[in-house]
Amino acid sequence: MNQPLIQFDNVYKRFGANQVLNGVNLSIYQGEITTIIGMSGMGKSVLLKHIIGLLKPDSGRILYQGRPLYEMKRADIDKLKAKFSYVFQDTALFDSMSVYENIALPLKEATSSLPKDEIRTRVQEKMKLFDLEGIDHKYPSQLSGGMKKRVALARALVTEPEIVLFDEPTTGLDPIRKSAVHSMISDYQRRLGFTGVVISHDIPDIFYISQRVAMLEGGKIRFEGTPEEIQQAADEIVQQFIQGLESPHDALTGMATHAQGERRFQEEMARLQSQKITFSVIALTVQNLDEINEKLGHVAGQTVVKTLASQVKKRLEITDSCSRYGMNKIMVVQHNSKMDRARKFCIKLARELRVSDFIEGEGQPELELWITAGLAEAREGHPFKQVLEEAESKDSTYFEFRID
Amino acid sequence: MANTLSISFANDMRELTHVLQVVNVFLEPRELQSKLVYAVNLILEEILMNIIRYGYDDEDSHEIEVQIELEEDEVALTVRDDGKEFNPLTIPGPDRSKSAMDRIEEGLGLQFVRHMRNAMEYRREGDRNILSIWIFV
Repeated sequence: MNQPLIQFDNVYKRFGANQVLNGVNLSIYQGEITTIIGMSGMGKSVLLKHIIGLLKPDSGRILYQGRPLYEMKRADIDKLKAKFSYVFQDTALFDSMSVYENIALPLKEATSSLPKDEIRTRVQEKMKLFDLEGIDHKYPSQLSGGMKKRVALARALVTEPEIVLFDEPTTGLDPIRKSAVHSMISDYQRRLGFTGVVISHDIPDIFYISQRVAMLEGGKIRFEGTPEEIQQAADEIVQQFIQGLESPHDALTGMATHAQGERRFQEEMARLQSQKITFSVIALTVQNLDEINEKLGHVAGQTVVKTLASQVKKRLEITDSCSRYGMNKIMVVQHNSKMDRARKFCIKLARELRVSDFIEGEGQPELELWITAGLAEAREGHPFKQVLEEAESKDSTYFEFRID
Repeated sequence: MANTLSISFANDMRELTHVLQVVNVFLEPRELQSKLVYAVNLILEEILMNIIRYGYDDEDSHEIEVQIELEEDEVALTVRDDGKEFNPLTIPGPDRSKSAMDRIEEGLGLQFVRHMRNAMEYRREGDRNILSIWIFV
């Protein structure tokens, strides 16, 4: 793999008797979202603060593009700091400043030479991006929790930073808004291409948007890998932690989580092997979620996913099961089903779904939903991953439908 | 009036006009929305032309089957052929950043139907491609 953008090399940090970081080795790669998980009070925020230079290690090094931070000149460090941005746990907006002033603050601080008009243009651009138009003069105390988060995100991204650090960005939000913040981070990360480091307890939701996950335990990185790797890790402590935090249901949809969906698949596979009871897998994807996010906002986008989930659940037989396995992906495992029954399910769904199921009330904004459904009949001994890939592949039976 | 039309014909461009005529004779007396009739014509022409042009490497005659089923609030088309494996749904969805002319080349019929409330299904069974399209009224 390429050189990491940021690297922790055997970093130690102690507060009094408390050895918070006890030899941390961690690599963060450019253009990826790396999520740090671990028990509360185990030093995740401390770790994050080392990246941005708010804390200095007692020993060990932090390297930026292979260069140790402590070897850098003052001017270089300042230049580097300008590339960073930090989203605090509690949003940390200034209550005495208006929304506009809050968002403009980093531009005024960092780039004193920036003309006023340019600042205005940039702030307005970010306000538009985060659906905050028309509230320039409001104060943080007048905003809802979700809106404050969006202001904090707009402020963090207004300098177009190369690296953004998020410390529990969804604390205190309801499931739809939590999910919307994740979808926002992922969307803007793809659009602006920044490197993200996120501290989160939202398992498994956060896995949908992360390329890498690291678990901090006992002051060390206990595990580092892709979301898929950590979910399959043999390490018992890692498993206990993930399963302990993992809610029994996907918070947004109330469906099973991906890991539970896989366990359900294994149960069906056992029945197929012992009793020859066939089963099918249906992989549903909302294909135009990005477009919906852009046009109607991320809350609407997540509402669409939630609604699709409930419409799917309504049409399942009691022996079927369903799980959410990605930001816009739902998997159905149909018990005692061959391809024909799975096909009928998809046709029924396409025939019956209406846009009014997805958006309530008068004056509905124009919404078009584009959904695909891939089907696969499980074969004896075929592993979960292979069957799911087969279902998603356009070479096998593949549906697409449009709802308006 | 029968609600189902089934035709099979050979992979020959000259037969295509004839097939479309039969389809229209079937559709005409039913007083369907003109947009719907247009959509059925456009997409059938596109799919069948594609199969005849690109579906076969040999010189043999192959059978292509078309089935149209009419329900009160939907039209279902199914096309079966034994040509090369090809899933037309792999053609990307409408790209709004492209000009209208470029979009035409992506397959006008497919794009036209994609703008209606619809479902499409592709599957390969044995050596046959089966494409089903439902247009919901």
